Amino acid sequence: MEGIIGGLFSSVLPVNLLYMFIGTFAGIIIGALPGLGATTGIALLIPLTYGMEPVHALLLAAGIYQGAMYGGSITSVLLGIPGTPTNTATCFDGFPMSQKGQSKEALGASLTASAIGGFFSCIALMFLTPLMSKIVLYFGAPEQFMMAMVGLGVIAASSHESLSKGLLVGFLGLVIATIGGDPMTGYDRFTFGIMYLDDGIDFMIIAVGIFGFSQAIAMAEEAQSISGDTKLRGRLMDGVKACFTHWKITLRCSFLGVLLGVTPGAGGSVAAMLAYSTTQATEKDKDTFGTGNIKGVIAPEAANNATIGSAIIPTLAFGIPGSATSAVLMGLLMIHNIVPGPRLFLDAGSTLYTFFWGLVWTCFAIVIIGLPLLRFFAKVTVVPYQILVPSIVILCALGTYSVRGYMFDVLLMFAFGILGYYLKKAHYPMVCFILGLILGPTVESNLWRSLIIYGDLSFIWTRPITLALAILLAAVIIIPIVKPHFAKKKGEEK
Amino acid sequence: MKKALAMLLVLVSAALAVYAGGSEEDLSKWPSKPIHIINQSAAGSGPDLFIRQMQPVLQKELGTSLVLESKEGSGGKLACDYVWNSNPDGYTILAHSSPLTTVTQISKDCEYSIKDMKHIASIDATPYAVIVRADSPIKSVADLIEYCKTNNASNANSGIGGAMFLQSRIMADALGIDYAEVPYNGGQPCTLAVMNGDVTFTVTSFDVVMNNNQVRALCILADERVAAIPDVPTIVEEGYTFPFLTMRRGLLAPAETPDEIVQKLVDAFEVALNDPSFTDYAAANGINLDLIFGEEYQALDAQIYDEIMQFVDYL
Amino acid sequence: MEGKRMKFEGVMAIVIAAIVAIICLDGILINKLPMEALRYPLFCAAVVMLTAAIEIVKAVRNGTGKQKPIHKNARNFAVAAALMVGYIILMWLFGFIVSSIALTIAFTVIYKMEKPVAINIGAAVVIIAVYFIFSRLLYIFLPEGLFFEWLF
Repeated sequence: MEGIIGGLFSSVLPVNLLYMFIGTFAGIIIGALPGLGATTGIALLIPLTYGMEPVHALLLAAGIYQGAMYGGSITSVLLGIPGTPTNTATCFDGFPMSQKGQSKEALGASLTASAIGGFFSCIALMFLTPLMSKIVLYFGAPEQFMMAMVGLGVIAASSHESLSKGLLVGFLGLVIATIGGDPMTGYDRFTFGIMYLDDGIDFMIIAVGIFGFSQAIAMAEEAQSISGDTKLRGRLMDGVKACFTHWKITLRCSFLGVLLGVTPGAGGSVAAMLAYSTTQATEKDKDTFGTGNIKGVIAPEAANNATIGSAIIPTLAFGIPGSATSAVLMGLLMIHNIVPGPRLFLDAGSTLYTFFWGLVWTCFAIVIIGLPLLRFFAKVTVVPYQILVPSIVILCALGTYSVRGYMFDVLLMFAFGILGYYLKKAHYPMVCFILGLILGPTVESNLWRSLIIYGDLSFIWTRPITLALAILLAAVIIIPIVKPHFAKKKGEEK
Repeated sequence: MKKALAMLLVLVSAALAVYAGGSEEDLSKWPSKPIHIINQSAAGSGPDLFIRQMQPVLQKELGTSLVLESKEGSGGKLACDYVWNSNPDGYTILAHSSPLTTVTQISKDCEYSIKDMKHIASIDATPYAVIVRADSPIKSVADLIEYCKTNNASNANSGIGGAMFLQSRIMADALGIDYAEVPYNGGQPCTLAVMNGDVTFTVTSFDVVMNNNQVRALCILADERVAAIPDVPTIVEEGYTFPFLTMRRGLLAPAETPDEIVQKLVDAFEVALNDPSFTDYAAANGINLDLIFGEEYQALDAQIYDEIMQFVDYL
Repeated sequence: MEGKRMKFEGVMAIVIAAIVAIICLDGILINKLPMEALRYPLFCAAVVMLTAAIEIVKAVRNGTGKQKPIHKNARNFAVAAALMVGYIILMWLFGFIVSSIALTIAFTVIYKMEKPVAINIGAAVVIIAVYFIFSRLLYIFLPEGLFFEWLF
């Protein structure tokens, strides 16, 4: 308890607050650039922190982490380009809102949702680590498989126009996800001998292509700015208030994110996608999702920031990173002689808790820094397309190239852009494609692993968590099919 | 239209001027721009952290800044290929982990091998160990053999055809036991799999037990005990001996890098690795330092390569 | 069946099926992967083919002679697509700076903007600044182009 209180007081020292704010500001900008994210940001930070006190380095990192997770949503909403993979789901409704001239509301909502989600996550980190770290021990291959299957099952629920279309692109995503090295057999699949495909196609390449690049071409074709002739309407605070009006969604998705952050095999992108899809499936106005429903912005943004604190839990408890970003964070900690593991909470004391409180305060920092910036950024949607389109194209190329440094990736992005453009014209739900892409590898490898370990499918009913998830899967698939049936029947009876 | 063309011409010349800045290098002025160290594993992993720890001293010794890039994937081959094909001017170095690289090169039929690359420094020698869950009933090698006979035992490895897989197969043959091989994406998920009970054990570098009380080392796969965990017996003590793989993390340069530059790198690393800032870090994290430089390292790697070639049937 | 054209969605279904078929071709013909590695991807590919068939049938049934054109403004689209292709080729050959500046110039000329000189110079400044920020600060080296690599 002392550590917590000591950390609290230490974290509000002006010097420390300054570091937090600098980190947050840098993080927001880094996150906003597609191709760069919290992982790169913290990695770049490490050499700069050599002379610093560990506390200051950690507070900078906390700011960057929180800021980057939020910053990616700025380009998602304004330009339709995901700034980081975790913000992909935000594009689905955030960008249509900008097109309707409601960018201020969308930005305000994503800001608030991110802050709230992050807040819950960091509180969990501080008080619930011993409890939550146990989740890691209960989530083996069968559970991860079934969880990913639930995610795929949500495809059925979210393809509201037609099931076959959703399945078509969903399974396309699954197939594309198999390109690259197969961890189970060691063979490189579907690479056509091209070395660049040996590791599969990086998610950002596809996301930037399908969302950003295709929007750019569409914009050039329609010869209009993002919001067209619609005047900017709505206020920032409307978006902020929306998070509280729809408090159930905000809370639900935050909890979902906190849980998924600590779960092995799930991270920010999975959390955001699942939050989005489940919200879409369960809300009454489900058909407006994808055309600019603010709930579709609140859900993923709450979830992805909610994975921040909980992903740090297994990192600190066992030295096993819960995500790529927490892996780099662990590196930063180790260089400053804070060694993760069971001794950590006993030894490191106030530095550690100052860091935790820093994570909490940075949630507020993004709001304080974000609000003034956003009023300015929201105007991007009225910038004439002749300037915006080349800027977006350059940004997409930049972001794609930054991932691995290969021109090949840029070419692929371009190809996916064209594909995405036509798929959207043909009304295929891209949500399903992204779900298939993200969840595919988890589904396949964990299915095989479970089969190797058990020899048969018995893991589905002999393990309680897996069984519960399997029942959930059945419900997720059956309910959307059966509900309209019952509604019809009721209508007929009347 | 003419205006546009004129502007384009101006631009091309401007670009030429900009690019002309970074052109041919004079050997005697090396290093005059940042040196890139390419890592086979992601940021935050072992070799990456070593370099970051050494960075201040290295940068001072070399007189230029270091840029760490991670090109993970394909079992380390992507990073290796990249460095192999890069300009041998001393600005691109590979941070690699043997025998991972060697095993990958053999199993993927690489046209070149690390024997051909210039060796700079080897940092540590981390033996493998058999890791079980802390509460596992298996307490000795004899227990393990017994368990494998009566139950469906399983081992988590970092990928079929990888180094952990190879060591596991060699051990299985030597001990005469049979168990399932469950592949995972890399080393860390393997430890996790042991922790949550999916697999019985994993054969990996022993340092995973250092900060994790959920797992313990059953025995070390080496001839001698390890200073960091002195209570763990070696498998030799328990009566079995067979070829052991040792994880050695080190730095390599492309084949045609001039010898003077390699020597400068060797000297700089010698200073950085012996500096207390690194040795203290190593001690705190249980890293078994085994510093070998230049030609000695080259000879060692060649020997390891030949040893591993003997096991090509397993791969 | 006269005058019945497939709805565009059917066309895309065919495209997707074709893409999946080509991808699988590598596993079956070129690299000849073992069955173990192919089971799962082929299963997914089969589902793709099945749903594509469903979509194609639906599209043919619901197709009509007249349809809304796919491209709202085909000329704009063609021009934009050509510009993008040009941009990528230029980037590959001449690097980031040249291709990006060329793109902005092309846009101001083709889409007839006011004050093209001012805009292009501003854009050029930003682009060059971005190049240096990325290389000096973030150590991400943007493409230099084959042409310049050949020169030096």
